[in-house]
Amino acid sequence: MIFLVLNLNNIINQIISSLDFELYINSTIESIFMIFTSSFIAYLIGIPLGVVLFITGKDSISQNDFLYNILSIIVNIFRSIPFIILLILVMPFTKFVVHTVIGPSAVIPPLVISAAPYIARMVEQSLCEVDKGVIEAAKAMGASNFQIITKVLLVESKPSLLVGAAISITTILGYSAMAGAVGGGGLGDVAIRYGYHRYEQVTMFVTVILLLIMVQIIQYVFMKLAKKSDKRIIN
Amino acid sequence: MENNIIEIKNLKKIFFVAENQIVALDDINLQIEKGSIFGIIGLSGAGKSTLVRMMNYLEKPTCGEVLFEGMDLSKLTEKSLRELRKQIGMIFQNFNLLEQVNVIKNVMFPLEISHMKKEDRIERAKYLLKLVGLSDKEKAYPSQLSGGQKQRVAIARALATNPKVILCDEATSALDPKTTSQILELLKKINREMNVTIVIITHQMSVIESICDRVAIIDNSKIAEIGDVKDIFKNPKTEIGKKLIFGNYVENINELNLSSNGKKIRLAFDGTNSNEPIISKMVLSANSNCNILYANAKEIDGNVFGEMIIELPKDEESAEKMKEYLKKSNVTFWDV
Repeated sequence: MIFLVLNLNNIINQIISSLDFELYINSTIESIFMIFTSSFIAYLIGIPLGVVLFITGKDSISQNDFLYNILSIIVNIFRSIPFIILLILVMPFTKFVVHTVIGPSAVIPPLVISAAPYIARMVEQSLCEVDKGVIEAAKAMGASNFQIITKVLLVESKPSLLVGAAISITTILGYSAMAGAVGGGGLGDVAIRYGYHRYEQVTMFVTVILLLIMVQIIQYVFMKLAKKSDKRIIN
Repeated sequence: MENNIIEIKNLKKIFFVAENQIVALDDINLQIEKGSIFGIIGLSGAGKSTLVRMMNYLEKPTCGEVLFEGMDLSKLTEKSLRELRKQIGMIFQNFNLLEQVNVIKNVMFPLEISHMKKEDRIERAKYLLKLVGLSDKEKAYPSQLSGGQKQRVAIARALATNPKVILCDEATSALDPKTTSQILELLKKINREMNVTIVIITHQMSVIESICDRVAIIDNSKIAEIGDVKDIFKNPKTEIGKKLIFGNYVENINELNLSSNGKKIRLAFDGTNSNEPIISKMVLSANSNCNILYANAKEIDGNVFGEMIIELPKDEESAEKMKEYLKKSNVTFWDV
């Protein structure tokens, strides 16, 4: 028994001394950079795309079956390609945009291409939750479609959009970890290079913990923001 | 002619659902006089909500015309239609307020759409909130308000752009009776003091009774009856009119049937002879008995309207005498 405790103590000491703090800090920063840059750009594309999907949808304010179906198919195509494949598929494009196909910057174009359609669907879904009666009231007041979008839809769906953001950013985090497979940098890269190729279980374990903490923080912050911004809840 | 703010001519609306055609409205003709309170009543599914949406062209008619101050709405471009809608306020059963913004911003919303300056918007919103009695709720969110308060906010919002007409789509249906009468009082006040024409859609006859000047009864997609509220109440001509005005009238008759099998008539009192003891005199004139099975009276605009169901005596001669007396006294009645 005493032997076991001593041994355990020994193992823990070994783990701590073997930890390369610089590696973890750098790769965490790389991960954060990838996740937030690509989320930001993906949202710049995803919000307008989601809005167009919503307004051209059936019985919406600017129904257009043709446009809706075209966009819907495009979104579905990009969503059905596995990220790891997309990563390789869009390499020429990545090279053209960021002039490299390795490192954290190189992961951003495929992350954006993959996340934007996903975010568009999340946004479309959030807008669907806006009370049709409120949209009708705005129409009755003489609001234009653009005013309905900016002053009704995006305002009324804010809490739901924030919940969607928590889910979308977490998904992007998951994708970004896959980027390690092509030397993309970040925590995923560390997990694959050290944990998988070199079979360093401790490194693998630590990166997983770090990723888990990041997911928890993202989830917590956005849910908190969503709840705080929702005026339907009486605090 | 020029007194009509809204005029509807030969209007028809067909909805296409999958392969089916559903006629929502057919052969609708009506005029709404400027400054009046016009009621549209019908059972649910009768097409009245569709009808009110034709008046601001939220729904476009399949054929027929909708005229606003003599102007055919089908001739307007999208842009001028939006401008026109600013002259027509609308309130709803579910209030339809923006849930994520506070009360004053809700009232300011139509003004923001019209690009009014911010200071002016605030000033106007404050004035309107005072008018509807909610000055102290400026910063509250809709979720913190009661149904009646929400509807007051909606009314303030509808008035923001100084509309000529306010359309009310079942505006009191989600409210309790006391709140309903307060909201109706407010609408009446707005109608009188600001000379805003009000169109009310409802399934509650009590709403029509308490504030409307004229009423159209919609049944099976068509106008069953249309006229002054007083006339319609005095003498509803259609089955649906009777059903709506005398509420549970039909059920009452069925219940009463169990206990009596004589000949029954229904009397309608229009308030012109409320000082006369009609029934006593009728009984005396025939020198026979009658049985009062049901009676109901309501006051509309200071006149007492009522109805009564009586069972006539079995002997034909006395029954005839009673009927003759009623005819002579100008009381409307018919067999039931």
